[in-house]
Parts: sequence; C-alpha cells; structure tokens
Amino acid sequence: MRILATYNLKGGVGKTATAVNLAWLAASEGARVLVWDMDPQGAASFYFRTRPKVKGGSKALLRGKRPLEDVVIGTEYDNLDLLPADFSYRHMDSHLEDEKKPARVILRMLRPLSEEYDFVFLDCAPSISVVSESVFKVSDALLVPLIPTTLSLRTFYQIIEFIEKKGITGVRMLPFFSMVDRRKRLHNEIVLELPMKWPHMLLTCVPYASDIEKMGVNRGAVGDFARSSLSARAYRDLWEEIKGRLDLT
Amino acid sequence: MSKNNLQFVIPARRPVDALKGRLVRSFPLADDGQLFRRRHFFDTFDWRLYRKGLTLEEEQTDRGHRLVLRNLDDSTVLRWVDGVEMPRFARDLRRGPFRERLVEMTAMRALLPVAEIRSHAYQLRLRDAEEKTVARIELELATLNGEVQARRLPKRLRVLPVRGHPGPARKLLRFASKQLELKPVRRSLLDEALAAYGRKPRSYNNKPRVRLSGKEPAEKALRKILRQQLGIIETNVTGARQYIDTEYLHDLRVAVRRTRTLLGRFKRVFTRDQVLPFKREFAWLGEITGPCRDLDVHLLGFEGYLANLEPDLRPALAPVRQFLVHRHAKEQRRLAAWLDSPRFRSLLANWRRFLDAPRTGARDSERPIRAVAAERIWRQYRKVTRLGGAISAESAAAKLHRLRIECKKLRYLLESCRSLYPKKRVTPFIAAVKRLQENLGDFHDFHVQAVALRNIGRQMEEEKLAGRDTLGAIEALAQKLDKMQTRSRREFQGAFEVFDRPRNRRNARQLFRPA
Ligand SMILES: Nc1ncnc2c1ncn2[C@@H]1O[C@H](COP(=O)(O)OP(=O)(O)OP(=O)(O)O)[C@@H](O)[C@H]1O
Ligand SMILES: [Mg+2]
Repeated sequence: MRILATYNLKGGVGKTATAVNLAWLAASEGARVLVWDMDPQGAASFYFRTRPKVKGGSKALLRGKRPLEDVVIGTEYDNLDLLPADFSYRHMDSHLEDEKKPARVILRMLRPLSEEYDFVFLDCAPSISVVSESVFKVSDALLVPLIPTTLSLRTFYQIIEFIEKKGITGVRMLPFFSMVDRRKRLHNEIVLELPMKWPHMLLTCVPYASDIEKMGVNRGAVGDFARSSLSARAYRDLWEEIKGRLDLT
Repeated sequence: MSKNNLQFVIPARRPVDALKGRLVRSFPLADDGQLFRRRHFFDTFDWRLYRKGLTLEEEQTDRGHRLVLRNLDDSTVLRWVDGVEMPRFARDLRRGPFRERLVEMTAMRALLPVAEIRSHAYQLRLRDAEEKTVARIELELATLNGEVQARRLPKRLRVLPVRGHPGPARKLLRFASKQLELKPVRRSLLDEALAAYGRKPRSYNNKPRVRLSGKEPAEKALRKILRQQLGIIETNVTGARQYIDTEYLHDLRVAVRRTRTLLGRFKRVFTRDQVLPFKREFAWLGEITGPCRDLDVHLLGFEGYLANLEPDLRPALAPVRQFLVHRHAKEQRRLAAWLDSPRFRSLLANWRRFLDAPRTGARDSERPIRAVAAERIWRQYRKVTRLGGAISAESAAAKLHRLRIECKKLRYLLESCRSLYPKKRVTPFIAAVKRLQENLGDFHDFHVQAVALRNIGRQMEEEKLAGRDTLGAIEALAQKLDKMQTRSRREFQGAFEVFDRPRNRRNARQLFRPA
C-alpha cells in the first residue's frame, strides 16, 4: 500500500482536484484505491457525492473505537472507495496532540486496510499542524500543487523549511504546477524558472481548465466525464510521471 | 451478501420491460438507459482463473474496452483496467497491479477466449439525497456468440451493492424475491455460457488422477492409467503444434515420460514383444520434442538470466534472446511437421488400439495392482536410496544425473498409483521425493543450461551474430550457473539426508514393502 498525500499550506490550489483525479486514474488501471478526505470542509467527499459525516467523528476514529474499514464507503466507481470527511476533523489536531507519537496513530488506523488497497490518497486541509506533520511522516510522497505566483512559491519554501526543521526524511516531495494560465506572463516565467532551482519538481503542468471546475457540477473525475479533454490528459501525464518517480511503472 | 444470491433468473415468459416498470414505480431509480456490451471471457487452457473462483473479461462498449476481473459467484468487480484489450499473455499488459495479479495467477499460460456474450442491459441506480449511487440494478439479456448458433441465455436481474450502503441493496433484493417473485440464479453467467457451448470448465487436468481399486488386475489398472496419459498427450497436440504457449508441449512431454516410465517399471504386466515397439516410438517422441522444450526453458528463464547478470552486462544479452527466438521458430516448424506426420499419428492410433484391446495374458497381468505396484515402487525406492547413499562429495556428476532420473521415475510411479494408498501417508512421501528431485533437478538444469549457453555462444560466434560483449555476457552467465550448480551440489547431502530420514523410511516400508 502506497500512501500519497495532496498537500499545500495554501488553500484553493487544486489539492482536492488532484487527489480525486489521480485516484480515479489509479483505479482505472487496476489498482484498488482509497481516498481519505481529511479536510473538515469535505470537498473530496462532495466530489464523491457523499455527505461529510462519520459517526462518532474523528475522536472515535483516532481512539480506535471505529475501525476505518467500517467507515469506508464505495463511490460511483469500482475499486475507488472513500473515507468521508467529518466536521469534527477540525479538532483532529487537539486529539492528536495528546498522543506521544501522532503519526503512529494514523499508521495504526490505516494498517488494517493495507491488504485491501494499493493506494491511499490523503486529501489534506490547507494548514500546518500536528495532523499535517503526521501526514508527512506516514506518506510515501507529498504531491504539492503550486500556482505559479510569487506568493505561492513563498508558501512552498515555508513547507520545505518546516519539514527540514522537523527532521522528516522518509517522504518524497513532488511539487507540480497547477491551475497554470499560459496567457499570464508571470505564470510562464515561474514555470520555466522554478524547475531549475528545484530539479525534483514534476514537469507536468495542470492547466487552468473549465473541465476541472466542472467537477463540482458533475461530481466526478474528469477522466470519467471528459475523458478525452486536455485536463484529463494532464492528470494522466501527471500520474505517469509520479509513478515513474516512485518506481511504480 | 455473497454468492449467487445477488442475481436472479428472469423466467423467459416475463417481459423485462414490465419488471423494470415495477422497479421504477416502487423505488426512486435513476434510469441510465440500455448498455450494450460485448463480454468476452478468457481463461488459461487449464482454467487457472476459474479454479480460483474468478472470471476475466474484456468488456467492449461504445466507450471502449476494459478488462475486468470478477468474482465468479456474485460477479463483483475485483479489479479493472480501462482502455485495454486482452493481450495474449498477462505479461504483455502494461505494468501495474492488474498485470501483477494476473501474471501471478496465469504465469506463462496464454489467455484464451472461453465464451463470448453479447449483452444488452437495462441499468438502474438507486440514489440518495446527495445523488450518490447507493445500489445498482441490471436487467441483462445475454446472447451467446460463437461456435454454435447465437443463442439466448436466461435473462437475469442483478443487484450490485455499493460498499457502506447495505440497506438499499437489501431492500432491492427483498423486492426482487418477494414482490417480483424471482428465484436466485443457480449458476454464474459464465457457467451458463459454458454449459450452452457444451464445455466443461476445469476439464483439463495434467495430474495423474485415475482412481484404482487395489484388487483390480494389474493389467486393467495399468491400461486405465496409460489411457489417461494418452488423453493428456492428445489434448495437447494442437496447442503444442500451434505454440499457443509453452505448456502444451511441456504437458505432452511429461505424459510421454510417464508413459515410458510405466512401461519400463511395469514389466510383465504386458508382454514384452507387444510393448517394445511402443517404447521405441515414445522414445522417439521424447527426442523430437526435446529441442523446442530446451529453447522454451531458455526463453522462459531469460528474465532470470538477466537478473543474474550485472546490470551493465544485460543489454549485451539481447542478441541471445533473438537468436533463441529465431532458433525456436525453426525448431517449431520442424516439430509441427513431426506432429502432423503419419508416424506420429499412427503411434497415437496404435497405442490407443493397444490400450483398448483385450488382455495380453502376460505373467503379472492378472495379479492385483496393489501387489504389483507395491513391488515395483519398493524396488524403485530401494534403487534411489542405494544410489543416493553411495554418493559422496567426491562422486562424479554422472552419478547425480543417474539418481535424478531414477528419482523422477519413482515420482511418476507414485503419482500414478497414489489412489491405492491412504492420502495422509502417501502425500508427504511424494512431497519428500519431490524435494529431493528438485535439488537434483537444479543441479542438472544449471549444468545443462551452462553447457547449452556456451554452445549457443560458439554458434553465434561462428555465424557472426555475437560481438565480444555478448560472448562476455554469455560466459559471465555460464559461470554464474556453474556457481549455482556447485551450490546445489553442496546442498545435495542435506537434501538426501532429509529424504532418507527414519520417518520416511518407515513410511516407505509400511506402504510398499512386499510381505
Ligand atoms: N486546474 C484547474 N483549473 C480550473 N479550476 C480548478 C483547477 N484546479 C482546481 N480548480 C478549481 O478551483 C477550486 C479549488 O480547487 P481544489 O478544491 O481542488 O483546491 P484545494 O487546494 O483542495 O482547496 P482547499 O484548500 O480549499 O482544500 C475548485 O473550485 C476547483 O474546481
Ligand atoms: Mg481541498
């Protein structure tokens, strides 16, 4: 089981769109996939047409009162399941803070699912906290969507600093550009420059595209409702590149 | 909720539209219209997937192809891949979990079409307030395609639950059985299709599995065993001739070897004169099928060869694979001609005639098989222990080769007669023989492969097909095999001690030693 997290401290950069679309692609290639919507806003749950509600809330999950496999539910797609969000996830931090090793708690929760799923996508809330720190520790890779603007680069460096300061080493940082608008000069410049400074960066750019916005209307993955669109194509390229980096091909 | 109780038969006289109408009136169902699908089922010749309770399908719709691995019983999807057609071998699929799973189950066997269905299904979905699908229903009309005339299969209603929503599916199931008064299906769609074709799944089995009674006259029993082996030979001829995959020829050869061993070990059950020409002809069959199999072994083991080489030497081995493929094509043509020859055909025909003929009246033909089998197995067992016990670290390799052959014969004898003995006792004994044989087999194979590779190198050099780097890689690989051979040689003493341990000896005495 590989754990991939979509993360950025910044909000509205395409984390959820990425998690949902990549999860769909993985399932469409024969993998068994779980998306855990860790954001109390429940956007991923929304895309999967699921009410963000978990009985007992995050407390029951973290304390092991409700095993994750009882909370997992199916989606519109075969082999793509969801662990829904719950509004109580906003308190997950304070529950985890009480633990000596919060990352272990997350791992212990996921372990029973390791036989069942090939991939788990963790769709994170835009924050930096004990929860995100644990996510960094348990994940094989952090997929970080970056909008090519100066401000969003700053937040990216903040994330790196945080990870270094905490001495977290096991996670691969895989930033990539998201919501790229080729008509904007600044976008084009940053898209060219950053990979030189940051050679680990993924080369696929996800363009700013109305098909991706329409995910909210269609409530599904672009690969499903707009399979030959440019955006479906972009996510496919992104997924190939990620698999290549993680030696999954 | 498992097994077939998620599917119901719709009686032929009940129109599907009316059922659909009742469903739609009773539940807030979204109607997805009709889906036309070509459902093409695949399995290996020896039904590896069916035996595991799985079906492999290529589904074709107006949206394209997808491959689906399902549970045979309830047709729930285990894995799927989008946009892919069925390749001939699982290994030809794109890398990923679907390929991995399928390769693990089907290995080197080709994926063959076993049934083709044109399906036409009404699809309905039960949704919740979020418009999320919480259960699906399919009313499927399936028509069988293929060898026989197109033919209707029983219509079925299928409920497809969604994980985490047991309630809605349960309601639909209850409705189907209580209100619509439908009966659960008794067999899967694939089973239905196979029955209509008149095909039996799991019909092929390459293991000796004749049931003998101990009192049976030896000759009668032996004919039965040999007839099954002949059946295996006959069944595999076409696949071996067409080279559908490597295992047809392999199974055919094993059946030939078993036949030869039985003829050799069961002397005086048939008369010598009658058996002699067959022994000669089966030896010929073993010979003409050898070259192709040897090349198959190299080709099947090629990935292993590469893995045994330093990464920078690997590309140099590519011409070797080409050479092998080329040689194989040539040998395969020769083999196909042999398998089409009058000599081969009359061997099989005469052999069948012989096996079906009245008794020969040889000396041991009327003795009970139990006594004759025990006597022959015991003798062979003694031979193996004697030869094995005489091997020391200094013994020549030829002695181990001889032992390997005798050991193999012992195994064939045991497997052919296993039904005469209590399973609990004979199975571990066979397993012990098998383990010893594996050690000896490794020793032999590494040796043979090293010799063969060096030969191939020489030939490629002569034909100017290999440069210095390729020859270097071949020699490196051959040396690696030499080393592996030395290792299995060192392991022999241990393997033999395990085989010859007191418990096994006692087991052998009690099972086979004649009174
Ligand atoms: N490549 C894109 N092109 C156009 N719109 C996009 C693209 N990616 C995401 N969006 C839209 O932008 C909004 C935010 O996207 P998304 O929810 O994926 O971001 P997020 O980083 O998960 O946000 P949050 O921080 O709130 O969780 C959504 O309305 C989404 O439809
Ligand atoms: Mg989000």
